[in-house]
Amino acid sequence: MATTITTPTDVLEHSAHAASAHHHREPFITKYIFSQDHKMIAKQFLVTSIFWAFVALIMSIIFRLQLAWPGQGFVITEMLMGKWGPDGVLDPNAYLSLVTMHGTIMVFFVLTAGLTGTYANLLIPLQLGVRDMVNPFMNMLSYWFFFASSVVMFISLFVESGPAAAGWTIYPPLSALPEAIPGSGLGMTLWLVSMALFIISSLLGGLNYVATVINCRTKGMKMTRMPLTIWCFMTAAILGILSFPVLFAAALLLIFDRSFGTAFFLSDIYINGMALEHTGGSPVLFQHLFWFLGHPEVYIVLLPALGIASEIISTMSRKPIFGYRAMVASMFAIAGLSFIVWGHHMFVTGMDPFLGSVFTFTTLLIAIPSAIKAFNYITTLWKGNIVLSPGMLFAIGIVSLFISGGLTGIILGDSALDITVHHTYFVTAHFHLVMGIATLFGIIAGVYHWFPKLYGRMMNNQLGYVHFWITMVCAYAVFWPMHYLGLAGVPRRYYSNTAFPMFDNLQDLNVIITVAAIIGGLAQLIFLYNFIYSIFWGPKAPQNPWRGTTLEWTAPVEHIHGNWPGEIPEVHRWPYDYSIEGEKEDFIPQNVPLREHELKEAAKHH
Amino acid sequence: MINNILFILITVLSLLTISRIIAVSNLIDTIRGRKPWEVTLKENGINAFLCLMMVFFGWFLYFYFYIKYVRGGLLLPEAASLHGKDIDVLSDVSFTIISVAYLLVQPFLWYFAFRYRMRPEGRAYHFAHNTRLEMVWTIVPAIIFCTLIFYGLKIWIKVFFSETEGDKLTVELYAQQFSWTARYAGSDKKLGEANYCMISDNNQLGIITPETIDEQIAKIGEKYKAVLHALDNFPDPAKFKELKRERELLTHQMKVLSDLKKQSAQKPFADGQDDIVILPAVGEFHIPVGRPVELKMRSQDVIHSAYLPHFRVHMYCSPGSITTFTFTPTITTQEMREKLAKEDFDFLLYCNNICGSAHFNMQMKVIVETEEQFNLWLSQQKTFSASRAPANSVPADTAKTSAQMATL
Repeated sequence: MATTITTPTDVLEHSAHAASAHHHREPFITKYIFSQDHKMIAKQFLVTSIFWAFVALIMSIIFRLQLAWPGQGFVITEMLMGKWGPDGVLDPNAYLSLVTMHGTIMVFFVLTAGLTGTYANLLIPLQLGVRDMVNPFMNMLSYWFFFASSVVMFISLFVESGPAAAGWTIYPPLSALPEAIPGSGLGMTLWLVSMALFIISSLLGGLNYVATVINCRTKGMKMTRMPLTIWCFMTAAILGILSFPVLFAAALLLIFDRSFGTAFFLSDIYINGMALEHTGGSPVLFQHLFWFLGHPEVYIVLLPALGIASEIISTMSRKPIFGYRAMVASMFAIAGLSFIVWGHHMFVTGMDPFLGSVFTFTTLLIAIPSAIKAFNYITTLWKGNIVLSPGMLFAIGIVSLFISGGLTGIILGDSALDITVHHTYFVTAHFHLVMGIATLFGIIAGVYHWFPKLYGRMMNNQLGYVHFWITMVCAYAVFWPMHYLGLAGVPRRYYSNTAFPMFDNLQDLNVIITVAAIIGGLAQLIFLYNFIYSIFWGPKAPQNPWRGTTLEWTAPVEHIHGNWPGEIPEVHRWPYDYSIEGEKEDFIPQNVPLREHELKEAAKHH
Repeated sequence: MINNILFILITVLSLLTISRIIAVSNLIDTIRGRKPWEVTLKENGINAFLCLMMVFFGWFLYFYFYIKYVRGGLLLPEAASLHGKDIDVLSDVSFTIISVAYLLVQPFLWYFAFRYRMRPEGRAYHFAHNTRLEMVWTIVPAIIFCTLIFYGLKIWIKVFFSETEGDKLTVELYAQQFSWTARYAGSDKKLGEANYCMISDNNQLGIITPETIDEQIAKIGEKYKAVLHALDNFPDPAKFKELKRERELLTHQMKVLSDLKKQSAQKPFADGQDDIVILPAVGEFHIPVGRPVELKMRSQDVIHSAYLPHFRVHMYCSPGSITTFTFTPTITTQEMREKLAKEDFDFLLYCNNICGSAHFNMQMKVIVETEEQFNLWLSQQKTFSASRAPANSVPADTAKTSAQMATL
């Protein structure tokens, strides 16, 4: 019997793959490498992005060392940077390359691919009760395009003129002219190629997620019975499908400008003693195109993290998520608004100030649905019976960071205030809290919580606790002081502040930040160790360790093609039936038929 | 070497030790009939206590930094411009609102995590929704944020759309990797037109005057001839490619120049003659207090950003377009020094958009002084036409080449 599911009909076929399916041994190559099984693809995304996360982490440590102790030599810089770190002192161009690549890797390869790639793949079929994605082959391609993109980006780190160095936002003309900065040579070309591959990967994945959620749900799984994770994955995927193509267009036009002499973004440039032939282009146009992706991108990464937080907080508080419908509605509001706020990245670019006022209006509106979400999380904790597993702690951490980082957004979204804080460390602090660390916590919370579904084993709790508390405290210790640097007028992306005597008395802030970053970075090794150790030697997982209600906990621990032996489960209730009065257990899984009194009540409503 | 081996050895051994400890503790759990992954009441209690500590950590962060940095005067001093004062008030209001929200909401999160920790035989309260509560925290933030939006927009409109009163001073800020040049309009109060193809070593801003056009045509003609000559001498392939590219660019530049030459027949291009150019080497430019200053920003190569945080002024400088920002300084440099009791204080203009390797050191001092001091200073500066060396007579054959080129 064929074990690969390739068409929607296979997926929907309730009785496909009898219990005997998993006895069939698959060759190594199709099981572990070119796998079409959503669970394996999820693990591939996870492992690749963990690799990238550590690469980006090491990069950040190297440039943080330079910022805290400018001009001093460090062994790690000398070892890893080679000619870019003579005597351990980071080269200014290499510094810009590092911040650029740190941003690129974190935003795209870790937060986007690592979060959505892992959990949308793992959870959409498992929580909806289907046997796989509607198009497993496309799903596999999605991973391999991501892999190819990763390879190209990794190669770009080693080219002679250095990797891209124009900031992760790659504003032309800096990114278009190798004369302006060495990183805009081959490094930038590879960056653009890699990004094109990444966008293909993201679209293949996104189309699959949306199609699966809309077309393939098990019997009884109405949209309103979907766990919030699924709502968030679907919305994030829709945002990605609509906005990533615009970045693709921008990248394509930039490639034309760089290589074929067009002038979309370039105009009136005199560099290196030569007047270039480009006239009539607009660098601001690129910024519009970039941020048309760039802003929804924030929610592409944040929404899945919030979805994961919803699911874990509800399960571990033993309470239904408070205001399910309000959560879905506010998520839609955020997603809709996210498309009409991109201009808040461009208040002072010379864009028409009238347009700026429109963008201020739409941007600050996002605070309202965000506030609803935050309050609903807090109310979910109220009168719970809270089990503080490592996953739960990270989920609470997400909410904490979402509140702190979200509040500073009110300053940045206000165009008049943005004049002073635009492009300062205030911005860096804001988006690292609300987008960077919150989303990273989403990935980590997911690993702790769904490890039994990923690897069939359990992670060690004690190491998880140590990991959480160090990470949580360090996250605040790194990014809280950064706000004050910004308010003192320190711009981001400065190689050092030594040229400005007015920043001298702020240097101790930079030292605090770097020390906290190093400690926080080392704490991630605890996680890495726990992760690898538990994959091989962790205690075997039971089917439903957290006593959750959603369908993934009804699937057997051993991974089998098609997820469930025999019939797929049928859904009778919403996903948050926790602590119902009069029930013996404090949870009722979704596939448990309605009780008699519930049936009566349902009949009354109809 | 020994060190490295020792380091690796210690790492491996400690990893092994941790693995053994975990394995043994799992074994003990199993023997005692507990599941190793289950959160015990004791563990839960410890973590709940730490959650409670997060409440105090959050408050500590806020007040420590507030007292040391905000109260301690380590941040930007008060705004030194008219609109900046409005922005500062808006900023204070906004920061107060978000501070209150932070100080109140975060504790709820962490305190609830502590207060409602798992108890033996405990049971959660099934509470799925409450329309009234949800309305409260939809409407209250909505009112607060809408007020903030309209207040913010009022200030924003004031910054950009209000008519400036009085005699406006126009200053051009010209950004290039990695320095600033300032230009004043001179007695005619008009900045002369400029073109990037006109840039040369004695005309850094590419100002167009009839003389500079001729001079530039001569210069580019010379350059073009040199390139042709080099191309004739069979250069190696790499050099050949470079020279061909240079020839292409010079041809384009010459086309632009000949267009300008044609234009100069109808247009006098006289505005630039009396402009005053303050070169980067000077390191500072002056503006008068109490008079609106209109900054016009241009860039030579990549996007830079003119950031004058003390005046709450910030605007990108993009090649190919002119951006503007008008503000009125209200405090002179001297007054600010006295206020802050810092003898070496200076208002600064610096770049705030990544622009290349020396982005971190692209600055210029802004000296704000009284009208009289400013006028005196300005009168001591040379005008553009006076600052240039006496015009060189153009050699005949060069003129001929350029004439040929101009017909391209």
